[in-house]
Amino acid sequence: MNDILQVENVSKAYEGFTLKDISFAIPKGCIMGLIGENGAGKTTMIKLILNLIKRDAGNIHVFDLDNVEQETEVKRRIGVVLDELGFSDELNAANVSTIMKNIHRSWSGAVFTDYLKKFNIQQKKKIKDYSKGMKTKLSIAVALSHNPDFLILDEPTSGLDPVIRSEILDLLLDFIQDEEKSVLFSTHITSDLEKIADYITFIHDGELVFSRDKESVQDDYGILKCTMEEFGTIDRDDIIGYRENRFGCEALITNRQEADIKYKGLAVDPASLEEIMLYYVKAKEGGRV
Amino acid sequence: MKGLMIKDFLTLKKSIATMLLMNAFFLAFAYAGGDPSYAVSMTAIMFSMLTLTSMSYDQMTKWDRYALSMPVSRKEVVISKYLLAILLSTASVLLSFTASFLLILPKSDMSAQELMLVAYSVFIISLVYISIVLPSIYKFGVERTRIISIGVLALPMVFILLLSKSGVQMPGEEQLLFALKCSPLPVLLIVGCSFFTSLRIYNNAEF
Repeated sequence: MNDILQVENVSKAYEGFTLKDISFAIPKGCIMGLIGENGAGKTTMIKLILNLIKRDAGNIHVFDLDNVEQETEVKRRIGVVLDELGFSDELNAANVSTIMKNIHRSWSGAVFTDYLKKFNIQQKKKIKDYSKGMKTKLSIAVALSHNPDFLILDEPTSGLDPVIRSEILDLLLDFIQDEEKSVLFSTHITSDLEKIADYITFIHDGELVFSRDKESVQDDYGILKCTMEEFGTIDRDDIIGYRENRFGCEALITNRQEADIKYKGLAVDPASLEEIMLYYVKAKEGGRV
Repeated sequence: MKGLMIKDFLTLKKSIATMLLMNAFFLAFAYAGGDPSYAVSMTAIMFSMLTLTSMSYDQMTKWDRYALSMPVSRKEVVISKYLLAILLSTASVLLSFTASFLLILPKSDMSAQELMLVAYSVFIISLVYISIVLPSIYKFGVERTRIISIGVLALPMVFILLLSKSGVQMPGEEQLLFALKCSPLPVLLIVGCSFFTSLRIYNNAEF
């Protein structure tokens, strides 16, 4: 087994939204960023992996186990951070440990206490007195304290300040150090993924745009800068979307090396994940960003 | 499953303490009025509501979604709620019965046997109440169930009142006693049907 997660041709239809034929895989020892605009289908994808919603078609395997047929076995080995903590405001971290000890066989109170110390969370402080950052940290501490092999995080860094975000990203990097564990991390803060992700899966409007390693995305995609006149000479099949500005025009292209040769003399800069996302989303709405 | 029950009791700790305090007030009222059945029935009604409170917390914090992302089956979640409800009903009836028996009964006209009958009837009613309320929460959510549960409590009373007003003969003491003696099996059936209905609804629910 080289892949921790395999998603094959998974579909799920709701009224007004459909996740269509999604396939991707996460190898061992990797962090995969799941990106897309709000409502693109990131959370739906995570819920399907966790069998919180039923898929209409396709297969999902975690550790080579079917996520529905062998659900409990799968869930013993994964740690999950959702957009909300899940525990009542009346509880404290010590209560959470007591509960989790009786849910996860491999729960380690000592590991949990270490994380609490690291995150500066008091055992007896009630959750209602936590900041949003503290709640996320507690959620991460819970997800990590039963020695999981796979972490699934749904927008863990949204609404957090850069210092806390950086701490969380470091923790995720530590988690995959032994090259046996992996992370699936959904976010629309693409700069976080530029720092830590190995693979990027981009979902837009329920469809898979791409799922590939981050380096190849950064190598291939580019922003071509030209005047409006020059833009007229560019092959429309080479561009995903474009935007006009006061100096001329910028267009997202899918093959930087080829564009360098084909359009000699025009500047082609590397595209950030945010730009790629923006151009794809806007392109579908009419081509211009 | 144990973890789910511990979570519920820890979450309800404050509410249970409030209920116990109210129980003391009911006992004081019952003591003043010399009617122990009042303390038993009021305490049982209040404790039955705690399951609703627990599920309301779950809904607010999106607990079910979180719990089901852990090694916890949907069946375990449903069983844990029925266990919680049955435990709370049993504990409240036992507690209020014992307190009433020791404190109020000596100064009341009621016999120990009569008080036991009241306690048993209240326990049966609370089990039927739970059996209606839990599937309703799984199907319609906590808020709509609050309205339904008022109906569950009020409708039988209105029905009996209407029957008695319309001249239909009410069952006598003998018949009521017979009904109570026969009650364990139908009540077990009601709880069982309720559990499987809840489980079916919960198995098909998406979070």
